[in-house]
Amino acid sequence: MEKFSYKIINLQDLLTQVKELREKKYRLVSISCTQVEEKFELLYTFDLNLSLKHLKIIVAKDTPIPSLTCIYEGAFLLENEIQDQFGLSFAKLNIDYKGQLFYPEKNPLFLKNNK
Amino acid sequence: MPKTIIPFGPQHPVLPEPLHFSLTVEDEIVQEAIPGFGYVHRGLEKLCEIKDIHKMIQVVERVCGICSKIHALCYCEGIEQMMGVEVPPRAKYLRTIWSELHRMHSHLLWLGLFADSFGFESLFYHFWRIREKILDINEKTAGNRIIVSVNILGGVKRDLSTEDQKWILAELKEIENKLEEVKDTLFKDYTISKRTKGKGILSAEEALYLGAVGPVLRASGVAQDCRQLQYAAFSELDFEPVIAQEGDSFARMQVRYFELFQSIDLIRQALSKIPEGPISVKVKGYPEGENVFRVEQPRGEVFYYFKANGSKFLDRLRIRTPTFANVPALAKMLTGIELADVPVVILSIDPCISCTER
Repeated sequence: MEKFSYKIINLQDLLTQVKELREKKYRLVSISCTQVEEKFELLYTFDLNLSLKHLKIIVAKDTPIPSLTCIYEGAFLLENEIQDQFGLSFAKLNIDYKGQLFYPEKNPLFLKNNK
Repeated sequence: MPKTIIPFGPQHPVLPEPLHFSLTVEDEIVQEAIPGFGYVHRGLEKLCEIKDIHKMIQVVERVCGICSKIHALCYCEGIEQMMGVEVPPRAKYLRTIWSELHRMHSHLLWLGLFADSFGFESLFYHFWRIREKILDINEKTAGNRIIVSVNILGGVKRDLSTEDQKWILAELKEIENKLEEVKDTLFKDYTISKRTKGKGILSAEEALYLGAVGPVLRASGVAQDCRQLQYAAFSELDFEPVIAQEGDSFARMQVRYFELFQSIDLIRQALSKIPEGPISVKVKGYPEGENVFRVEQPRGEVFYYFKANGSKFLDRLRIRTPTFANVPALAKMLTGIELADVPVVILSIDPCISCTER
């Protein structure tokens, strides 16, 4: 099995780097969000012929994250789930459930120290 | 013709689980399909903060009943990789055998439901009758018919005796014969072809772009199967991904049907090569750092992300299930088809909402 490693990139480079992967025919596998103290780590995972590539960004709670839906249309579910669970917001989402993909009311269940 | 928005689901005769689609329809043709969720959400991933790494096996088994064993396999192999645990060879083979049995019972369940979706009741019962034999094997060898709880960190907790292995081989022969009996009906019946051929077409390029996985991806001609990553004992078994080219509902049925024979072959290979020896090793300590792991479930690639801090609880467990990945592709398949074909096309991806909502 493949060894896990990732590359940390700046938020402003995200769309450029993802566009390059899309041009190389990578498939978007997942976006995994973790809260580390007051910051949030988003791990973007891509696959090409069963080989994975990971990009990581670190953001503050109030920082809008550019949506990947302009590059990968299907990213809307992954991003909406993160909005639901952590209360983060994605800019220019093609379908925005506004934090209510799974819950009838805004309730970021995975947010630690949620006050 | 004015546009009409039709709510499809969450309760619908063709859906085994609650899923909603807002279908924008013009002159009986679907123009747009927007999925809606939130009927069975449980937040199981959050439990990793209060259930230790061993107890979490029972939690991930309950993400989805139909692929419980394979969720646990992915979780255990991911944690074992982080901790550098070497699982005994016999345990790897046993994991493989139960995984393929699981794939078979899931595909048979789906083939029955799919037949039911276009009104072929006798075919539905036929597939479910065959499936009972797999469930009997699960019950006899693992103690449960559906939630097959055999994985532990470091190996498995049950073994297969020589008598069990002989009995499984005899049952597989009978299952194979029963599957051959329905082959002509499945592939030559006029009604099945009429209801499934050319319905919900997804090209290979669209499938990759929208992130499709599993039989949905392979039915569009992409030969990708996570078992090629050689987890469990797959590195020692010969197989090629089953593919079809048409990318329609018929092709997705075709892939799953032939994967049943592939699973029978893999179980036979595994039983012929299974080594003697221990079935588990003791795991000491706790994982630290990050890892990802993925395996092939009946519905496709499941992806696990782990973040650990060296304590008995994980910091974060994230599970991206195959249906979650296939929903954007489904929304694309529904666009441009007739309203009457919507139930069959939705069923064709084998949706698991329990997995999707976790």
